[in-house]
Amino acid sequence: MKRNTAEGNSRIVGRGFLARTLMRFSELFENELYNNRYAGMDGLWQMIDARMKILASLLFIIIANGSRSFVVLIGTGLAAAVYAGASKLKMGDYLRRVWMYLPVLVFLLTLPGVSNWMVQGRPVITIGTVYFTAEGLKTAGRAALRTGDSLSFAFLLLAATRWTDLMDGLSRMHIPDGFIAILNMAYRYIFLMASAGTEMMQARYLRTVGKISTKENRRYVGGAFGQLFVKVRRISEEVYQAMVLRGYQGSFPSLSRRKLRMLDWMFMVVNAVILGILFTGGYIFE
Amino acid sequence: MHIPDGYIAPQVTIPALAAMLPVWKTSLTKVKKKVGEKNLPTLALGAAFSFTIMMMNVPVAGGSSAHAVGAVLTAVMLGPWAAVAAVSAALLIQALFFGDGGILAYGLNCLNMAVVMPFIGYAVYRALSGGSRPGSQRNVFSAAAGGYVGINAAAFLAAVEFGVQPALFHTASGAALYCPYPLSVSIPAMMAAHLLVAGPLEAVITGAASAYIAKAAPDMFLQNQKNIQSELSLQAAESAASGDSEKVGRTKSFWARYKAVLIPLIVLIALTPLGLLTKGTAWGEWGTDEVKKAVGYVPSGMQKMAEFWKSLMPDYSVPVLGNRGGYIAAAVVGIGLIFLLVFLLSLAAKHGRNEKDRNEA
Repeated sequence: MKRNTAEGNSRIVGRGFLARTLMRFSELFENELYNNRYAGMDGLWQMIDARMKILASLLFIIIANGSRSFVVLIGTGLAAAVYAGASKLKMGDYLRRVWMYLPVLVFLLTLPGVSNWMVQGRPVITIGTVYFTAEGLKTAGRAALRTGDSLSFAFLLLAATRWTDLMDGLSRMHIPDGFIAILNMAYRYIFLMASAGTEMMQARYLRTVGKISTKENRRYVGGAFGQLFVKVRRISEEVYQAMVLRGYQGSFPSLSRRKLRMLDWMFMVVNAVILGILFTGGYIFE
Repeated sequence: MHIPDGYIAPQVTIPALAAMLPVWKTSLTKVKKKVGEKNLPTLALGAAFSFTIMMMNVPVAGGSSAHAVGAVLTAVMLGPWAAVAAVSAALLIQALFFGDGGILAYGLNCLNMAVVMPFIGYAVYRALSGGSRPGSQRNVFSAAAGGYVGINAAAFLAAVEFGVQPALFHTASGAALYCPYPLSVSIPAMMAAHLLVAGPLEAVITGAASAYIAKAAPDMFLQNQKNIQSELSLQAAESAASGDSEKVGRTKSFWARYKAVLIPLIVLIALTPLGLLTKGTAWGEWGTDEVKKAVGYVPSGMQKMAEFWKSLMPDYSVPVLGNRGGYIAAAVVGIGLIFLLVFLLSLAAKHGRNEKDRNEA
């Protein structure tokens, strides 16, 4: 049965640049919708202070990226999946968004580099004249798993944390306030820009009949970029004036000052133990 | 060109991330100097613009399409330092939202697309455009050439970052631990794609967009040029105020103007060969033998830990289950422990939440 969603009945037809752009924009809105829904839930990660979540995510990502042990790589992915479950993220959605695309792509793109075209050795899998060694397949597997592990924690962090909390956490970890303020403000306006971009592309999409040359289409997209820029600069002026009217004098204090609680410390202790288990696993199964 | 995590070793990505911090700081200071307190909306909207254009597909040939980066366009319109902050912010949102580019690789992606690309592209634009009128053929061509050279410079740097991985990080048998493609493959592959496809695409887009802006809103174009002029006169005034009379009337040296960009690049180049020290070993997984070889002795704590694990599971075998069974049992226990810990933490969180609800009621 066909689902009545953005991917179902209202699917954008075609594979041209307009359809692809429209699908990309709808993906942005869809992601934001899901993230807002998840961040508002009362799961485990949603209850933890953003600083601890950022720190834990970074530690897991660093460990996964620095390890060559499959146990550590699979264990890190598994820990992220368990956390996703405990944070009430839909497992199907989690797996689709994390593991179904980029890790698979990285694996496939790595394969030519580990085939007999570039590395010689004892064949394990042979397809026609091409063969792969066990070491070669391990290299491709590691690259894919590392990508998936990083994506898992990035997704978990974003889905289970409101953007403002995430930025507050980064600010309290001494990331310059100016950069945080830009990210905070940019986050609000990407949706406005995406909406403007969607309207422009939709208008063109609905008006397009027959075949238009690639050159003409490229010129159109160039013009669209220019149009967006003009819009952005005008909005930027208006936003600045609105900010001045509300008392903006060039500095941007953060309002949220959440204190760390017992649960946050417990979270870090648990993560330290999990990382210890993974390290030990790495030694046992090397 | 977005580098994912897993393809580059942390010995390279982490220094790159650290090296980007002073660049971001300088970018914010420079833009604040240039446009005053308007810097926040300018950069934030610039980031939103950069993010949006990276989402828009551009037709290539034969029905296929790709996305442009637009960093040179942002540099031409807002200045290269503004482009650094705007494109960096856009890349972070992209990495978090879509997984385009890794978290650890974020610093490298910024270096390629938010520093090298706008600066090189902008330098080409300035050199070729001279004092030409915005929207004139020469000006539009210069912007297009800037886009072409900028994206190719960024692609070349990315190709080098990929290409040095197999030489620096591999197992004892020679199998690559990260990107398996050496420089002899990564440079031709990346450069062919960017010189022939992505470069012309970036050029057309940068040229067409700048032509549109010059026609539809010439004031914006001129405002940017005015800001750059005021920045130069501000620098001259600063030199005069500091009593450095020799510098008055001429611009500062290349090093003085771009040291915030050059220092991290030099640090990165210097740090990359450090990966050779860990040749053949995954980062953070040094065994006691390897530690002894590297530093001359084994720290007593590490030695004790190794002995403890050996006594707990000699040869990792369980008498009843045998060697293979021992491995499986260890894996099951490890996974079970992770499940149990997260479950207990969830219970604690639930308990805390219920307590809070009761107190509020």
